[in-house]
Amino acid sequence: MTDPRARVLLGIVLGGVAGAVVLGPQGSGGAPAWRVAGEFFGAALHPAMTTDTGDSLIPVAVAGAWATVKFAVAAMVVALSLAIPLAFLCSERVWRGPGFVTVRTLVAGMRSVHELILAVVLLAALGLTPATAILALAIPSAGTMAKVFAELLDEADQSPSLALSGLGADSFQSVVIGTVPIALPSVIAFAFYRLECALRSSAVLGFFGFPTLGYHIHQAAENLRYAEVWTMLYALILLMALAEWWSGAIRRHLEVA
Amino acid sequence: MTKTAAIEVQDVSLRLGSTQVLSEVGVTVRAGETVALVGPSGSGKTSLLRLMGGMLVAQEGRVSRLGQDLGQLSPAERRSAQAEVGFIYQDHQLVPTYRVLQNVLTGAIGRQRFWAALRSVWFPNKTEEASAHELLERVGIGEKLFAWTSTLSGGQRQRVAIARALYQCPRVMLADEPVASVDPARAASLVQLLVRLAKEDDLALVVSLHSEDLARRHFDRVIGLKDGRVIFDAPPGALDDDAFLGLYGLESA
Repeated sequence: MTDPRARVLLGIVLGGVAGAVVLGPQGSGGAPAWRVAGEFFGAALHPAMTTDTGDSLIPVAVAGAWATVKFAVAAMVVALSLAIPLAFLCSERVWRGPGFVTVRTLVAGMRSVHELILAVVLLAALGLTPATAILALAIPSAGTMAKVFAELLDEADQSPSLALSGLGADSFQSVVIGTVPIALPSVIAFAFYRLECALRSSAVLGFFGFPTLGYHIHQAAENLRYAEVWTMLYALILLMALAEWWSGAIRRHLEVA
Repeated sequence: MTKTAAIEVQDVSLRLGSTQVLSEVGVTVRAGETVALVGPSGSGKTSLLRLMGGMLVAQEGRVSRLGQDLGQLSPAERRSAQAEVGFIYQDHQLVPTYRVLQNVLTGAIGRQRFWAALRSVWFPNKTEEASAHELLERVGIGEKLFAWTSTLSGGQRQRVAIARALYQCPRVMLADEPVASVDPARAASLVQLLVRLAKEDDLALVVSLHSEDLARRHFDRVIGLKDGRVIFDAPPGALDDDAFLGLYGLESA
């Protein structure tokens, strides 16, 4: 063992074992943690295909995945319709002045609260309705997209829009026709990245009772049905892989064009 | 000359900050006349073009174009006056992510309302497509109608910029060092193209150039600027080498 990296690695492993011994071996329900972990990871190899009562789990997983997609897409539609006008209002290219600072502050506020915290607040205010989940996902996403879109507009090459002003275009025309197309590939790529984020958050919202994949994961885990947890986890991984493949394909296409 | 003045610059002095950029400049350009503007860097060529283009307003003197005093226009009048002028920049200033067709169609933006301009650029109809194609044929790159602008060479982009300027049906064409970033052979053919188009469409053309050779060979008139003053303003035939040597601060032997 002359490689210093191997020694560091060994140190980390020994540290981990020592930490585990100090913190104690007790898991939940009095069962040793290593046995719980063993059961849980063992279940990864044989995810459940049916429930205890013999019904197939596949339709449940598909419905959960579909609900995850529905909440995420609905939230993105709301978020984009807020973010696009806000992005113009946050752009130094369009206007300046007190209104500009007000809009920037509003947008900063929108993205300062995490989706899950916003979900807790909105659950108290609106109850367990689809609007709660959609707004919880949409508001921070709209704030983030408005900020990033505005920065993309401000950083894009100004000279074509100046040329259009020289032809007699007003400032809004010259930004929309001369600058937006330059920023557009990055804007679309970022919107797709935010859609991936919305899918992940939408799944997690299931923990609050919305019928997304997180709901089924939470229920199965609460009842110690680890094989079912894995079924739903695999469904989530498959969904995210599909989403990333699709969004990646679009981003690659935009880079080529 | 029977033709009226397309551009009239009378006793114009311009200061930018504390710098005196132009002093008592007077220039008249008629429709169909081609004028080259030469002089060393910092002599005021670009500022004079920008005054003629209505992008700058002088503190003293008067600039009028097609009979309109540019210093006295309301914003709406100014906008429609801008649509009469095609301006070509040193670096083409096209949108790289548009197709060539779309960039040409932005030329009409000064005459259009917001939605009409947006529709035209993103969903061009057959008539618009045909007129853009015709203009691209005139500048020698008709086959590039649907090419992405970012895939074109510097000279080709400058031709697209010329087609964009023509698409607005200008009566005055101003070009600020349009050939500064292309090689000499292409520079000559671009200058010839601009002069030919101006003659065909009866445009008043003013081009600033670094090359006195191109200026003397292709234009009706050459104006020499030095330190913000007009040193000479004459047809190339009436100018000898000494005139140009004086312009660049070199004494003749």
